[in-house]
Amino acid sequence: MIMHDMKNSIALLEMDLERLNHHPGLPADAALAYRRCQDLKARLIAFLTLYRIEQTGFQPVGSPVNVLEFLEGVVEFSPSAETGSVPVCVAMERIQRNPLTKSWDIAYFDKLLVEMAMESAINNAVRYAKQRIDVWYETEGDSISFFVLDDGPAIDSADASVQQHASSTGLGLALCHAVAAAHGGGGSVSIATLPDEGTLFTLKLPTLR
Amino acid sequence: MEEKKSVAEHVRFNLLSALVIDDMGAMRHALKTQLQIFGMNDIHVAGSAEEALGRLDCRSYDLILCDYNLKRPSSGQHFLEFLRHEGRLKPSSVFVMVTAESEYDFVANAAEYVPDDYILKPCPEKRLKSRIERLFDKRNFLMPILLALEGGQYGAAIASCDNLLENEPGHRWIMDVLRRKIEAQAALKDYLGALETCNIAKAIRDDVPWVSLELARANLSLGNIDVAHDIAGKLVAMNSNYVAAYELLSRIGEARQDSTSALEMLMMSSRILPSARRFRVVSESAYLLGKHDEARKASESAIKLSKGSIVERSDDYLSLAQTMVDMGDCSKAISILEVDAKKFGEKGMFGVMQNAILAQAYLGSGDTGKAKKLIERANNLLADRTDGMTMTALGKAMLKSGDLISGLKMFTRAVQVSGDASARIANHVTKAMGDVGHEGKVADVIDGGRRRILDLVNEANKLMRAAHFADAHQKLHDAFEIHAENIEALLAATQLHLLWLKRDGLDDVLIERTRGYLGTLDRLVPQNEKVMNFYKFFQTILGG
Repeated sequence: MIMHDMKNSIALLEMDLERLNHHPGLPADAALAYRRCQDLKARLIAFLTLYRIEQTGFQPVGSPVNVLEFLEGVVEFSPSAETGSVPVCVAMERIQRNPLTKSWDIAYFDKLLVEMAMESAINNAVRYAKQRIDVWYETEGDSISFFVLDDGPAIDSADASVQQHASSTGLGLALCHAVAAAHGGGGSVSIATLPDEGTLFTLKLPTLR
Repeated sequence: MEEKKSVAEHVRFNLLSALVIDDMGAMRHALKTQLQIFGMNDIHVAGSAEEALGRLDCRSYDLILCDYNLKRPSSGQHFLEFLRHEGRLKPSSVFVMVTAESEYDFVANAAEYVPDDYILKPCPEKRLKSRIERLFDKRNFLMPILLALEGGQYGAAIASCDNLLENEPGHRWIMDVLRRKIEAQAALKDYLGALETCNIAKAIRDDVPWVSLELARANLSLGNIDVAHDIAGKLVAMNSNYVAAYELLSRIGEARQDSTSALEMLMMSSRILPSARRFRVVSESAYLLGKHDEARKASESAIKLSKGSIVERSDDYLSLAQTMVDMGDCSKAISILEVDAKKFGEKGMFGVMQNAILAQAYLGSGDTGKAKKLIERANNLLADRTDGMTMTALGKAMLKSGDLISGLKMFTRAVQVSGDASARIANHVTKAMGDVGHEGKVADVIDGGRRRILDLVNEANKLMRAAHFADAHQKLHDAFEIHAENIEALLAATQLHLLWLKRDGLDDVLIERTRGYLGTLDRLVPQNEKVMNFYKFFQTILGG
């Protein structure tokens, strides 16, 4: 009940700030306030979702998803992508059409959970990327993998501030692991350095039915 | 990106109407403001399901945004269930459930009454707008089909589907077109057609669960029970929470006359996704199998889940009370009907059945005098009206009171008036007569020509589904020899002739027969929805 009230209060605050930002000539602080509110909401929902997955019998909801459209939506509506200084793009050159249907893949996964996980990964990438962040997916058999690649420094860099890269996700990384686990056996999360490229986040999921 | 621009251009927000339902005033205002920013002007709000129903009594809306977590007693899901079950939600209306992340898995898994979409609250403006645009893009594409379905014009709906399939084969919503075509074909009992359409859908995408489910349904309707079972079995093996597949497996169990397996599948579905509707079905199946304890629990669950809400049913109290009588707990049955169900008064068939079951309960507790008064009252309330279930309960009370002749007459009449529900009523009558020690007379009561007619109609239906129309007609002719105005036979004959005309073209003899059947049905069951749909289809065939 308390959480329900808190969420409603934050929701109303967010909607008020969103509406305010339609007015021309507002100071930059207004937009900043709106972004901070979105960030707060995202963290609260991530925390609550993580709690539900870990503590209760959460059943992921599989639905047929056009994966390319899904990724485009994640990129388009991600607050981090919208407000960060580095562009976030769907790397079309890395995505292949389904050889059998000749169209973009349809896969079955929990859209909401995966969206949360991807936003968390993008949010983290935005902090460290220099010039670009690429997002794409691959399917193999009964699994699908989502990738976020930023061109920031390596996770094993000696730079102390960068050493936080892997652990700074904190809640976000925990949520990603939980999302992978909720989809059943075979799900995994990894963060790795690609030489000359940057840091690659991978979320692999067995597809639901 | 180009496609997204064109989607946005096609959706004219200023022409759309919306109903926003949320128990929080501030949230109603905020959502309304968001819609206004999109360009919508015609927006109404409601603070509860009941208030929303009042709005819908006056007009319809293009978009309904409904909070899942409305104040008790009626939630957003109750509201949607009521609208869909009562046919109050037009196919062309878009229903979006607004839910918190803590509820959305339950909302999205509500297989039977699924919203067109759900959004998490709070939903940023850009995302909400994009979701609504997408939904209306789909609606606009499907509109000719949806309007035909709204009017019950299934033939026209199929024609619209075929038009889109021919002219827009690669469109993003083409699978939705195929799904609607299957729905319309099933409504017309054109199961061969539905099977063909399923195979077309499967050829486009063979990894979509609903296609397999519809394939299984079509095969079941065609009598290919093993094929249906195989497909449905694979569906639940891949997804152990696929409620619709379990429900289909239950129907397959019934078709195999394995009622125990059918009940198990129903109970599985109610465990995965509890709902009042599911518990009602479980309760009835368990009751007919004599599993009174399961029936009791299911009735109690149905009452608990729907109490005070718009989907509450007085029938649940009747079912529970009858079960308690059969379990020998007459005082509990009396308490349920005289205390818990008091709020329903003594209206309509509820009043008749209430008195009939109370009579049984008082007989069980030894108060014969009171029981006889209740039977008399039930009979008076019934008067000239007919209802198979009510008459079965009254017949049981009469037999229990020792009035054999009236009881048997009442049971016979119950079976005769049951029409479409004849198989169901026959099962209840069989159980009721068995409960009062008159199983030896079941065949006489039900058979009064009735069971033979049922068998003939079932055989005719099977032949009809396999497109052996002449043979099917012969079976129905034999049924009419027993009882010229049997409603089930008349319905089957009308259906047969409409399909016959559709397949072979206009024929004077077939047309005349169809007119005759429809005229008789009009007299026997006036304002019957199925008969009205038959009329519409008949007009379509005649080119009217």
